[in-house]
Order: sequence, then structure tokens, then C-alpha cells
Amino acid sequence: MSLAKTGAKTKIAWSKVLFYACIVAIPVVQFAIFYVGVNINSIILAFQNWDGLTETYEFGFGNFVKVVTDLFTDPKLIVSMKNSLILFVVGVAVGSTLALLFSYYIYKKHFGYGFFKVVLFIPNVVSAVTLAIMLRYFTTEASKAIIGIELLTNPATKLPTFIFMSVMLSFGVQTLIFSGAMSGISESITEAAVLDGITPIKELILIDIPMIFPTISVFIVSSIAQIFLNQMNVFNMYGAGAPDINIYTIGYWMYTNVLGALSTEYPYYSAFGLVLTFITIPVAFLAKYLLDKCGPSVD
Amino acid sequence: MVQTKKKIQINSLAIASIIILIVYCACILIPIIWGMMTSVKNIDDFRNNVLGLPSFEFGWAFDNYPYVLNLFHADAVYEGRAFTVDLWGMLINTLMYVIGCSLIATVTPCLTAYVVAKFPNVFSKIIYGTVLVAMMIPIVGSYPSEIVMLKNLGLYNTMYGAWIQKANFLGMYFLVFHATFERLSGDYSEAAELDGANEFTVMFKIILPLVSNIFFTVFLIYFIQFWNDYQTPHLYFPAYPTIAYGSFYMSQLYMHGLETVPLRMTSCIIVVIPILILFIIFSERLMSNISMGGLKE
Repeated sequence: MSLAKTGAKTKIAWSKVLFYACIVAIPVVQFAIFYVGVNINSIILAFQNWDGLTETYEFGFGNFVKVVTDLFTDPKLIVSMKNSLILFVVGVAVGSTLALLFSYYIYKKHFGYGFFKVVLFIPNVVSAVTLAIMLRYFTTEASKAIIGIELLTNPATKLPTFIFMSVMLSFGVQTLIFSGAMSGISESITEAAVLDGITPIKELILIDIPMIFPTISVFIVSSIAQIFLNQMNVFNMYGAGAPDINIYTIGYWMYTNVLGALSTEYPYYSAFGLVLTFITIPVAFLAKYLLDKCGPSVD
Repeated sequence: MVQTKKKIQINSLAIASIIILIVYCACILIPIIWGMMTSVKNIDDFRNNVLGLPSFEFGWAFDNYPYVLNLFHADAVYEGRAFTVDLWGMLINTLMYVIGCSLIATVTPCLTAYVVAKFPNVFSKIIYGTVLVAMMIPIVGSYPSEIVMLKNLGLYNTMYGAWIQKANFLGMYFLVFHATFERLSGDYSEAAELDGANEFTVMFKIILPLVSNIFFTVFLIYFIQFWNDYQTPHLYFPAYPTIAYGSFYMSQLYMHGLETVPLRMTSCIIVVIPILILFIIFSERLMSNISMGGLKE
């Protein structure tokens, strides 16, 4: 009998209510303050406009108007938006495809799978700032010595190098979770398919991917939530002083600005965050709906 | 004929995968090996020999390590007063931040998931639904609001403020714990309850030991994550620089020769060593299968 069923069948006693309350009280209060409260405060902040002359706050839509105007006119923001979207598309298209291919390889325990598993996990163990600094100098000093080009400073290769590095460092855990999910697929299903003469590619596409699709779907939807938070390792490499706006992302722009902001500037950045949140929420829910509705069927 | 065709297809997918994997491994490992090699190079050696092993002429410059360790520091500001934190100070900050936050960030979803799995009432359903919805709702740019809230509550720039921030049940590991508790047999706890054990005894003495493996794995994952996290301390408690922040700070310094590539690499490797040792010891556990999504029936 499962734990849940046992609990459900147990007669509710006050001691159980007290126990339940003791366990959930702190997390619920924390949630109320640091999730609900922070986000409500974010909305309130976003409507406050700082008047430098009177040194008072006024309520209004001024910040939102400025944010929307800036999104279409500020060259930094236009580039940042473009880069964030490119990074997302490449991350999902290339990163998730490779993650699936690698997880299938690990799941099937092909040659050297243990070694590859360790290497895939390395970007999650070694700190992002350390790896980013190593890659920064490798793609300048070492690449100059090897191919005669500083990949990270050459205007033609700069952005692709950043995107390549970010994607490369991002999907290790995804691979391990996908392979973990694949290992939960009943052997009888794959054995029956193999007996029917299924090829490995067909097995991956027709059996494994549809079977673990709920997990894939979680990753795709959560990566939508990360579109405007991803800093593409720019802060890790250059701190707040990135030398070129062409490598900016919204995540980098936002973090560096808030870091050096005066408290009177917080309302503008809160409004900025809210506008992006309202752009992303429908996209995330639409993606979830489409993935649930149009995702591959096990049948 | 059919068998030959099948063999070729098996090989073609495996070969394609292994080629891409080798390229991937090269992209990850070569810069790390290059960084390690560079960290023991003399600067004059590095100028003429960017790629190779340290030359015989200059030898292996292991003294880069004590040199960087002596200089390893971060400048911080607290209530308008600037001060410097050395390596030992940062180590204490790191341990307080990493151990405290990892423990709290593991215990909170674990216990919440336990009661939600055990008592499937309306409130539990709300909590479970909240976790799912919060994972889907992308909150962008709540930093300013969080800073304001922390300042108002007197938690900004405090270590306990950092711990409290982590005491939430949201996120992937709630689902991992919930899935684990739902799969657990209720026989042991039922027997203990019949013997008169109360809920706390059942949870701490029977259930939690049964999930200690997954608990420790999640704790380790958080430990590594927080050890490497320098942006949270930088933003929310700048008076407590951690070693990861120190590494970032050192990477931006232009003094005492630290701007040279070999010394930059040395300071990177110093931060990586403890976590690599941890990874070597616990690699199997860290990479064990964590199930969270489920399979289609």
C-alpha cells in the first residue's frame, strides 16, 4: 500500500493537523513573502515614477511607456533582445537535439558511455565563472596561436562563439535526466520493437522520445522561462564592463543595470521585468498547450 | 541481408553519436587542460609558448599557486565602509553560505513534499499546483523588488537573509522528492503508527532514512551549485564575498601581475580543486538517475 493511500485512509486527528501545519508553515510564509510579496512589490514598484524635482514618487504608467519605447529605440536593448532570442532558439534546437542523441547513447550503454557521462556533467561541477574565464582566454590567446584568429574579439566570430559556448555548457544535466527517464522505459517494449526489426533511429524517434516526452516538455517550457534571464556567460567573462554591445543579452543588461542602480531607478527596472514577464507568460503557456496537444504519441 | 542492414544502421547512429560526443568532449576538456597547463607557466614562457607544456628553460612555475593564494582577496563595502576580505574570510563566508543554503534548500522541499504526498488534501493539491505553475511562470527581473523587500525586512546583506531566501519549496527537487515519497511503501509507517509512534517519529526515524540517498544527492547538487554561485552573494549580500565571488573579482583585477593569463588560470584552478575532489568522491551519486518527469503510459 502506498504512503499516500495510507495517509488518506488514516483518520484525521488533530495531532496530524498540527504536524502538517508545523511542516508547511515556514515554507508557506516564505513563499508568501519571497514569491507572492516580491512579485506584488514588483508590480507596485513598477507603477512608481520618481520625480527628481520634488523628490517624490508618483503613481502612473510612465515607467511602462519608457520601457516599451526603449525596447524599440535603444540600440543596446534591440541587440540584447535579438541575442536572447537567437540563444533560445539555438539552445532548444541544437542543445535539446544533442541532449537527446547523447542520452540515447548513454541509455544504450554504448562504448565509453561512463566517460562521456562524466564529461557532460563537468560544466555543472566546475564553476561557470571559472569555465568562462578559461574559455575566454582559450578563444583569444590559444585560438590565435592555433588558427590565427581571436574568436572572441573578431567581429565575425564573436557572437557565434558566445552562443556556441553557452549552448555547449548548458545541456549536460538535461542529457543525464533524459537518459535517466529513458532507463525507466520498460525493456519489454524495446525488446518487442527490436524483435519486430526496428532500427535504432526509429526506436529513438518512435519509442524513446514519445515515452519521455513529458520530461522533454518540462525542459522546453522551463527554457522559455529562461529566455530573458540567460546572460550568455558575458558577465562571467567581462563583469559589468563587456567591451561590445553586440554580445549583450537581456539577462546581462538587466543584471548589470540592477547591480549598479540607485534605489530611485528600481521602479524602471521592475517595470522592465514585468513587461518581459507578460511577454513570456503567454508564450510559455502556449508552448505547454501545444506540446501537450501536438507532442508525439506513444500509439 | 536484413541482419547486415540492421547492423549498419545500429553502427551509423552510434558512430554519429560518438563523433559528436568526441568533438564535445574536446571542446570541454581541451580548454580545461590548457588552463591547468597555463596555470603552471611562467609569464615569459607563456608569451612564446601559448599552447605547449611549460618549457625546460623556465620549468613548471608551481610557485604561481602560493603567489596567487597570498593575493587572493575581494574588496567589499558595508554601510559605506570599504574593507578587504582575505581567502580565509571568504572560505568562512563560503562555508556558511554553501552549507546553510544547501541544507535549507534540500530540507524545505523534502519535508513539504513528504506531507503533500502523505496527506493528499486540498491544501496539498494547492501546494503541488503552485510548484507546477511557478515553474512555468517566468518571472523576469524581480531583483529590484527582492532587494527592496530584503532591505525592508532587515535581511539585506546578512547571511541569515540568504538562508531564509532559500527556504522555499518551489522547483524541480520538490517534484523529485514528491515522486520518491509517492513510490514509498506505507507499510513501515503504518506499523510504526500502530505501535504508537507519532508523525514526527515516523517522519524522522522511518521515512527520512529511507530517502537518505536521494536527500544526500540533492544536497550535493545544491552544494556544488551554491559553491559556484557568485552572483547571488554579489547582489544580495555584498559584505560577505565568497570564494566564487573572489575568483570572479580576481579575474577582473589588473594589479600585482594578476592580469597575466597564467595567474588568471591559477586563480581559476584554485577554486576548482575542492569541488573537483568532491566530484571525484561522489561522482556516481551525483550522476545517478533522478526521476522527475515520468513516462507516458
